[in-house]
Amino acid sequence: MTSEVIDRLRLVPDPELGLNIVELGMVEQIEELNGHLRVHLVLTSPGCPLSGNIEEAIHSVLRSIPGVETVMVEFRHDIPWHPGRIDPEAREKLMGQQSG
Amino acid sequence: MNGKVQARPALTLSFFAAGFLALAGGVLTVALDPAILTGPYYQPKLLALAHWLVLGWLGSVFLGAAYQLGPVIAESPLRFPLLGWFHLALHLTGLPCMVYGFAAGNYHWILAGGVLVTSGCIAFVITQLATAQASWRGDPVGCALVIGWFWLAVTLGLGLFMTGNRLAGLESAPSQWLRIHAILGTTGFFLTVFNAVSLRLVPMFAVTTRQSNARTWTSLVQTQAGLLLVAPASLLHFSPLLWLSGLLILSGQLLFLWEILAQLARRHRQLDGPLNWFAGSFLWLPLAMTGLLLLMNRTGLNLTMLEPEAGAVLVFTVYLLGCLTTAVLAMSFKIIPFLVWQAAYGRHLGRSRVPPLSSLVHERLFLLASTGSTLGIIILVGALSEQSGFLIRTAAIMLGVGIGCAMTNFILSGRHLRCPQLQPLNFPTA
Repeated sequence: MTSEVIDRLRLVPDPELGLNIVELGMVEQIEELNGHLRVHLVLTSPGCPLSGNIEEAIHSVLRSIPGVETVMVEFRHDIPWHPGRIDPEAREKLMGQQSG
Repeated sequence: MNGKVQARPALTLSFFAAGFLALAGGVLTVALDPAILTGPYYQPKLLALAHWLVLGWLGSVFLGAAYQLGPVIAESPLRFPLLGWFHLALHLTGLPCMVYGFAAGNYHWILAGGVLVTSGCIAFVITQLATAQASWRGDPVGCALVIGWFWLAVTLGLGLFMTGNRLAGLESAPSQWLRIHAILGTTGFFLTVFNAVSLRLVPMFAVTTRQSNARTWTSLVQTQAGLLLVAPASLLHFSPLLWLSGLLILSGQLLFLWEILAQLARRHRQLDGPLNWFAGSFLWLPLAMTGLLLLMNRTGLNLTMLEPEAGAVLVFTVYLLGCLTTAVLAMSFKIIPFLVWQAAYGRHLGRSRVPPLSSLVHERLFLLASTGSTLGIIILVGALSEQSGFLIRTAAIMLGVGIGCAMTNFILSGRHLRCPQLQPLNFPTA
């Protein structure tokens, strides 16, 4: 189920950077036990004003997976996000991103 | 702490709207009467315009942004949001009273307006302190913000003190207190907050990290040490202390600039138009701080052959318009679209395909806004050096075009609130 979960999480974008939360390396860990999902998330910026929206979006994309009963999102404040967490391909995309 | 920060876009957007209207009004005033900016700074119309722009434009935007950025920096939801609306009401009531008082030379109106604006700021500080208290981090950004509020309180207190003195007939202007009030208000509050906000926003938007903690702390300590010396040095008329104060502020800001440039050099993102414009605002900073140093020491600004009193207008134009206004205008192309996007699409995230944030910035309007404003400010600085009314008017018109384009962009982005551009989200098949 994990690969399906990751594919679904790719549907949650960061509107400013144009990358999704998987590409940005925000997904630290996914735990799955008998249909109960727990997603550990590292915010790119502590106190990110979109954190509430991102949490709801994760619930929305994961709860429609067959067999998933509950979804829990845990923000990992003990793990600092840094640019090194960005997927290498996504990093190239970011450096080539054009002005809006 | 649950990690979720509840945003207050309506409150921040209302402060921004007030700020942009104040800026447009101020620029229109200069275009109609360019003579306001020529001659010495101590004249009723210029004092009125200075307060209108500093409090009405920069004050509204900085305070409004704090209602959004304060919770982000404190990593905690905004406490007592109703106090924020109360603050806005007091700010919008007090400011016109104060400005009318300055223009008419009526200190009763100035005092009444000042008390209202100060009361609003007290409400602001309560919300910010309560928010920061929940999860305050003693890093340079957190410390600088709290120090900025301290300077805000000092500036407002000094303003009320001087007005009270004038009403009691105890003081004949301009006094050393006025210079201290001007320097601590514009530099103590705005510069400290500008440093804090930049140190937070540059890593966020440019996808980079702090490059040197030691440099960041030293910059803060040096700048604040310089600011703390402003009042005693000015009151004692002690030249070595004035030089020391100005040099500490200048060197602190050069360290800040070094840190920002180092962060930008290590960025992981190509800068877009607004971020490039924002980065450009830092180029004005060393010029402005050097001007402040010369002004504090009354060296006559020989390069421009201006008297120190007229030089003050030039220095504060370089600083308040060149550096701070450029930074705010540029960053408003990030913050306002973000707030509108969040209000329009935040709840649809993960349910529908939503447009990127960049779609809320119209490229042509942005180009006109950035080009018009930048050229307007550069021409204005030249016009003040030459004391040319014609060039001041030309600069005001160009600046007005730039501001108008920025405001048009923000109004147009409001269409997303009325008609969100949503598309179905296609879930991948297993």
